[in-house]
Amino acid sequence: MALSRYSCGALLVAFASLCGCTDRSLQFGDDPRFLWWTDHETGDLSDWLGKSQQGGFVLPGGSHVEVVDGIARSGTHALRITDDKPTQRDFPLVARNGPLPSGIYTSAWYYLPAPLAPLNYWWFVLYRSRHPPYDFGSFRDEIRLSFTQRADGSMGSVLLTEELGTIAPLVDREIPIGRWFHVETYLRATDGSDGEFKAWQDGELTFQASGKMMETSWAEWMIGGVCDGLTTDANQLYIDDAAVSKERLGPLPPFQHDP
Amino acid sequence: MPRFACLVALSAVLAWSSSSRAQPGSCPSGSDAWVEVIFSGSAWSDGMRDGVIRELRTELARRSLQVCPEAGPAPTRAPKEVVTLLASDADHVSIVGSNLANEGGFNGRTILVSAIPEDARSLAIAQAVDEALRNSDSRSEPAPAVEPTSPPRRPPASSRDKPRATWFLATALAPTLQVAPPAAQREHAVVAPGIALRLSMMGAVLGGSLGVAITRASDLTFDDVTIRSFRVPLDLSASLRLARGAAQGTIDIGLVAALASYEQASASRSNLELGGRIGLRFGWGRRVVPWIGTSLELLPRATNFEFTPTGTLGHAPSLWLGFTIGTEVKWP
Repeated sequence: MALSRYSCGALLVAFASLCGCTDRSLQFGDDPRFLWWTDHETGDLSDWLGKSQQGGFVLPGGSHVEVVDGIARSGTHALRITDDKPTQRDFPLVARNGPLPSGIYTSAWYYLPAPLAPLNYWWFVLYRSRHPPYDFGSFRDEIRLSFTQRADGSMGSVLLTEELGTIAPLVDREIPIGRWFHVETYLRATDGSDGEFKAWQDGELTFQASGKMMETSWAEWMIGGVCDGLTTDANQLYIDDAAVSKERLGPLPPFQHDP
Repeated sequence: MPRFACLVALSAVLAWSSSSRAQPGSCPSGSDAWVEVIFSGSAWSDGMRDGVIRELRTELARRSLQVCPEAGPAPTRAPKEVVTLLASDADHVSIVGSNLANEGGFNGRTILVSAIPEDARSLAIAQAVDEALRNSDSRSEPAPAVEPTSPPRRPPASSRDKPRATWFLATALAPTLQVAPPAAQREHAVVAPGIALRLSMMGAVLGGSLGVAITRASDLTFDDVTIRSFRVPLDLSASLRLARGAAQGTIDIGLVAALASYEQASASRSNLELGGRIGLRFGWGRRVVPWIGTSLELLPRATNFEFTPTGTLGHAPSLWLGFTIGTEVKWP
């Protein structure tokens, strides 16, 4: 069967040459599950401001919101939030415009180089509703995940809502220091009783609430910091690999670029 | 049906080409010793009967024996031997050294004529009858005091003695169903109907085949992401074929190269996937062989589907099962 062997080899080589494609992987572009995402490898805030039709905005307040290199979960760049006003309330935030689709997942990876010690709160995830006439002043901060200090001195989180008040965690997970952690949320933003909110930390469901979640169904997603003050010098939060998606992603591996 | 057609065609060729066709009128008369040949069974054609009588006369003339078929004019003297040739099917001929109808008994031998090229079957049957008669003579007559010194008999040189053709070509065209079972990240099986073509060159047992299948496009679903898939697998295989009568089984083992095209939204990509293939086919027939087959393709380098920013979302199937039913035609 030597003839068959050589014939086969020649055939395969010819076939491969004709096709010109022997890679094992095929790149199909953006993951269709994603409505928007950024890994900050552009080196600036352009992904937050655009990239998809929805657009977004940046609210630095009196502090800093910037894309920096050095500490990053994927690639070389990440978003750094710095609260430069430790003695007063400030709101360094990035946001994706509303109205978000009802039943939406948002996620991002967070990194704290040092424990934050807010006076009362540091909202690191915030959903804001907006009502007519939908201008800069017609909004309400509805749902927020805030850093807290646990009884043993470590950092934890708490869920605060305008409609339902403070929601006890299903699982009281520690917020790690010096390690990237993932927080993903689901929001069905309705102004009726069929609303729903969930939060997962590193893939584990930590908060769940249902009922009327917001004043209106117009929702915006914001992450970064809304802080009423700091009791220590620690004032930085890094964020990377953020996404808005149609389905739950979970703590995915670091984002990849087109080869 | 083709077997009978072959016998008829063979007899026609022999009738055209031979100048020594047996004639019933050539039965012996007077004191010549002769052998009566009775053709029994439904598988005999006239041409084959004539061919066997002609060859048998040539063989037995060396021993001064005449041959007369049962249907010929009855000689005045009783036959020295009576041989019944029984052919109930086209594959076998039984040689019985007695008159089946009158004496009963079965002490002959059976030869598988389907394994003999058609143009040599008459001679083969005649030689087998001659051999059977010699054995009968040796049992009934005293052994010679001295071994015969004549040189071994050489078969007569003729076109019938050409080496038997050992290779044949075959083409098979068949509907096929290609199935990829569910796998990690892909909950649903993929079913792709299509058409398969296979060309084979076979010897008595071993050979090779080249097969290709063209299947309908199918969907690969990963969670809520669907990728349209179209593939054309081409395989080159070594084949082992075992036959018993008209029944035959073939195993093909070889390499497969599948040209695969994948579409997701507006993105279309192609890739060549390489692997191994094993196939089994079972058929029944001689020239036209209805068959049923199954196959297994393993593609260890199946294509990864990568998306930005998540990376690999899933893989193309690395295992395909094939189910095929069709017909194969052989030459010669």
